[in-house]
Amino acid sequence: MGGSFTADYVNGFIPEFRFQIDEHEIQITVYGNYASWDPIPEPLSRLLAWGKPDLVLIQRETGEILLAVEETAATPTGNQALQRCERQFGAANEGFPFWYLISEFGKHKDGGTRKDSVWPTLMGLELMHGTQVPSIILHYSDADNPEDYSTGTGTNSLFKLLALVLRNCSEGLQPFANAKRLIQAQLQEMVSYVESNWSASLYFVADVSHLNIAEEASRLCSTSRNSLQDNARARTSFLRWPLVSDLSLGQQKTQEPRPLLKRDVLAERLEADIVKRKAYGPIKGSGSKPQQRESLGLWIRQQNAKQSDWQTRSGHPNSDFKLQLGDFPQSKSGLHHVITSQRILYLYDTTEDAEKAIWQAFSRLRNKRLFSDSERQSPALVYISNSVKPGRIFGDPYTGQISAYSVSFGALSKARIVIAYFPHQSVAQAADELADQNNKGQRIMAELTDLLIFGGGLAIRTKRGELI
Amino acid sequence: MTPRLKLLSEEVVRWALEVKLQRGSTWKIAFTNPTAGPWKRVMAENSKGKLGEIHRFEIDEKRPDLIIYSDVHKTVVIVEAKTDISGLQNSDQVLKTSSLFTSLSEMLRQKGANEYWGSRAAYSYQLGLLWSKKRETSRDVAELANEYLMRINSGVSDILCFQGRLSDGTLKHEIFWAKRKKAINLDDYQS
Repeated sequence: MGGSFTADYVNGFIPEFRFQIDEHEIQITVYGNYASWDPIPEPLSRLLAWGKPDLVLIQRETGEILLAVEETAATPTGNQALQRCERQFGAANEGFPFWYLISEFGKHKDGGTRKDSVWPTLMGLELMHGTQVPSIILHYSDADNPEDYSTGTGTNSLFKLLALVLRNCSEGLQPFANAKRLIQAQLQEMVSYVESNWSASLYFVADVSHLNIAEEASRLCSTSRNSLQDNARARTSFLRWPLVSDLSLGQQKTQEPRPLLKRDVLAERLEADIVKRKAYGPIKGSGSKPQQRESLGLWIRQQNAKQSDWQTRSGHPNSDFKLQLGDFPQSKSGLHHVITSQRILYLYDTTEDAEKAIWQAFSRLRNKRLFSDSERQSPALVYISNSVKPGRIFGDPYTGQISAYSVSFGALSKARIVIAYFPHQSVAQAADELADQNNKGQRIMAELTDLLIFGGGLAIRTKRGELI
Repeated sequence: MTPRLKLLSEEVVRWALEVKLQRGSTWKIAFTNPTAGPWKRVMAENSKGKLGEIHRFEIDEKRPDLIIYSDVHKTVVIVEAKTDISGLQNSDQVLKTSSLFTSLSEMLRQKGANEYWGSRAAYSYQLGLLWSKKRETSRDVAELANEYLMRINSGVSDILCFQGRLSDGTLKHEIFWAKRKKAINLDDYQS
């Protein structure tokens, strides 16, 4: 773009940059650590309620959010990039443009390299279609230079966009004026990324080639203060996943039943429904990470104590939830499996069939109306997290993963009912967090899921915050 | 509207210290633990000025908040940061930080063969504590230092303190040895 800049530190530590480009002077002041500053512009407060992006570009005079950026080099640890998908969802849901810069390749401690999954990208494509707000994934690094910001196209593309947005604002233009070619190239990269990488995670993928990239880029460039207000309109799905009845012979062959690694009443029913062709599992196997006896024993005691304490406090009658070390089979190396089903996700053609599986598994839920008549006819998604370690149910890693999966499979357009199952977690953790209206995870669960089921079949209707 | 600094959090105090160090020439940052940014690696420059990796933290491995080193003063400081001194006085934190300092300094002492660490393996390793000043007295700080020193067995005799405070809107650091109650200038650092 050409020009010059100076950098200074206000009060000795607040970075302030002044760019002189042609006749325009652009001043950027960097405020780190959101909680340390007052006042915080109202739009920023709304964005932060869904999680804290790494960078938010705000116009000084108006307090308007121009765009937010999340950045991660955490690819080496597999699903880390998914953990920030809640921020990606939250930004789109509020109408704030969002760019997510991810290291495509990461070096694992074992010496091998890991590659980013397709989930943030799939989710971004679905979000943009539904909200018409940019939610763009950019990748940097390459196989020979993992985690290297200077290789790959992502870093350069992001900085070009940032420069353009700054210049537009200094000229009084809309933030993404003249950005069509750049955004078009970014969308093309996203489509290519899905097409080249889906098979690492999925047996088959919804078609992404029907995206009219030029039209979509034009729409996204017209994102403005006014159009941002209008994003809560009726949404349609971009990613169209087949019903079981639509699966081709080749797709059906990928749906062989898989034995459970640890017995579980609901997971057994879900797996049986694969055989009965009521559901299918589009995601390839979730590997088992067996746990040390000592750690597992501690977590089991903690979960049981939480449940017992909660039952005493809430006056809730005894439930069937009580974990025992002996229920977790030993692996060949003497560790303990915590995985029940070897699938993380089941797609049902109808919620009615998923509800029947839940009724069969948990007698306490039998004869309880879990869904409305219209919901019963909708397709459903059942997500399983087998984690035993106590943690924030409405925090990492669950909310990010659930955001990515539920949006990618149709929750944004309400095309699919979303059920999340936590067989080894006490409902106590969720019940306590439900009381906090400011909890970001609670917002995400309420927005993207319909029913949470915890150990022993204790369930919560998330839309109403109601314990069943 | 220009935001005003209302909370001197550990992140702001650490960040301001990093700016101060980077603007000087005596100390370098080998590791920082911000909420965003590059993967969690300890990095340093080799003799040709090329930056390389010395250690890569695992996702659930305990990490300090900051590691700085000075080739001029032949010293490495491993820093734990908290918003208030009370966070550093917590007995679990004392145990955690002491244990982390012991294991991490030992690990770095074994990295003599690493091209990017080399002779720094033989440097003096110090524990640093960073927080924002409230009402604590120098006696509180000395007592805190004793708690840590009792649990560290690696020839460390004092704790380096980085205490951030606001003065007329400007964030300043008081840097001093806890037990000796001696203020120091990092450029003229003496252990």
